[in-house]
Amino acid sequence: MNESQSSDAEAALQAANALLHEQLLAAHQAKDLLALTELYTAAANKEQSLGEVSAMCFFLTQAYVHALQSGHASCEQLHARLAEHGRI
Amino acid sequence: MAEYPLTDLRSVLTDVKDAKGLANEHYTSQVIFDEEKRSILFDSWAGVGFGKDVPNPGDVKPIWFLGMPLLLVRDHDGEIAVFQNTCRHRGMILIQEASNISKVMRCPYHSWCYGLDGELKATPHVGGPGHNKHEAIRNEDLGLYKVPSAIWHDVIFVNISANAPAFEVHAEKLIQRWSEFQQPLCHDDKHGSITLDVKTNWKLAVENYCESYHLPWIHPGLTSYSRLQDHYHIEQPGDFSGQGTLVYQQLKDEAGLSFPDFDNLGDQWDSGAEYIAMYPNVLFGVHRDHAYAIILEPKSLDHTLEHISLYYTESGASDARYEGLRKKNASLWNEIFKEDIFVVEGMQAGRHGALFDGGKFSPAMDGPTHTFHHWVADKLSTHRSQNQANQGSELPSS
Repeated sequence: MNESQSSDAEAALQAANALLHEQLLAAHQAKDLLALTELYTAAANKEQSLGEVSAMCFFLTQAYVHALQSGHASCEQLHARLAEHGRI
Repeated sequence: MAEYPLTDLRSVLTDVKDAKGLANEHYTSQVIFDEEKRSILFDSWAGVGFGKDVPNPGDVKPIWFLGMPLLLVRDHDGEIAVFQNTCRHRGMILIQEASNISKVMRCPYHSWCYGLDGELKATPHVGGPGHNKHEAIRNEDLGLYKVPSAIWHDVIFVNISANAPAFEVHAEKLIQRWSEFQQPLCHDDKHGSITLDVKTNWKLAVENYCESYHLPWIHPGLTSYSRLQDHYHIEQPGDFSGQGTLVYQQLKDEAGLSFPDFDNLGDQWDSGAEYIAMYPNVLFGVHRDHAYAIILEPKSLDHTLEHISLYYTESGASDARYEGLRKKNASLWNEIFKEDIFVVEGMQAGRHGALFDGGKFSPAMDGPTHTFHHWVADKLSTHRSQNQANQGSELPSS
């Protein structure tokens, strides 16, 4: 990856993060538990792909709480992912 | 240790013909109001809400009762429980408004989550970011505080101090007396909830409700067919008091239709009805075709909300044929209860008369009211004796 490609990738990552941030704020504002569960899960998955276990567990926790509150189908799976890392 | 004004309870705790009523301070003193809050309303079984307030599984409703934040909860099995509405973490109010909960109740502050059974289910980040457990946080020890509660005639009773006999013991005599009405009482969701805002001490609403003496003067519309001599006193010292009528007439519409009767009632109820104050703060009425309950919510020393709830048989509460009758019946009771407002507000104002000595009971007509005063005085007397004993035990030995 040359310098230009690296810069483009960094810009794309920042744009994706900004979009996720805006979507999360909107979901919090709307108290949309389904969206919060899915968006925090997406954030956790992204951190997992980067190998950031600590950040992943933070976002998994956020996703889990909203899934627990709403009875979301992914609740058990989120719990299992946290348990896998001894976080719950 | 609080110092209570030495109101004279002995003059109440005697036979009705010799007794005086409770002294003015029981209606005008904040100190006595606080004493009664603890020794009567918290130590006994007080009504705080209705089952109809949380009609569906998962419904939760936050309420305040004498400064206590409480949470009415109907779980997914339909059972009602009452919790203190305070998160065990930092004391935040857990539920801010009535809602329906699918799984857990989440504290809006740090998101500690509780099941509808009060059990602590989740403590996000409690061990640090992304760490949801800590050895010092034992979920099994940190559930919501559960307040002893019971449901009878759709009224939710609580014993906040958790020191009263079981509700079934406390209410045994009234449960037995009205055992025929132990059947579905269906709330009229459209017309059957009325709240009156009254500038009076809560006890005066009980006192007025207990007796029939005032009916010819305050409710002349009733006495056109239900004369004073058609009423009888109900006195169960230590438990409840009230009045009954022998000439209840069913409401009928223009076509002669009346509400359907409750099932399998005895002959007594063909033309009989009873109105009983279940101490401390719930007023009940039963008739062959409808019933009601009134919860007196003391807002302050001289301010009370009266929450009235009307009930019928299942078809009486829901069948469209009875819609007009339900509206009319609610309107009639609303008018009758409103007729009492100037009386209970007038007695509250009159209690500022420094020369009033608690009042002279009519032995013939005021027995049910004296029975209530006697119960209050007995509770307070016991409370004061216990306080004195505790105070004595705290004194250093010489």
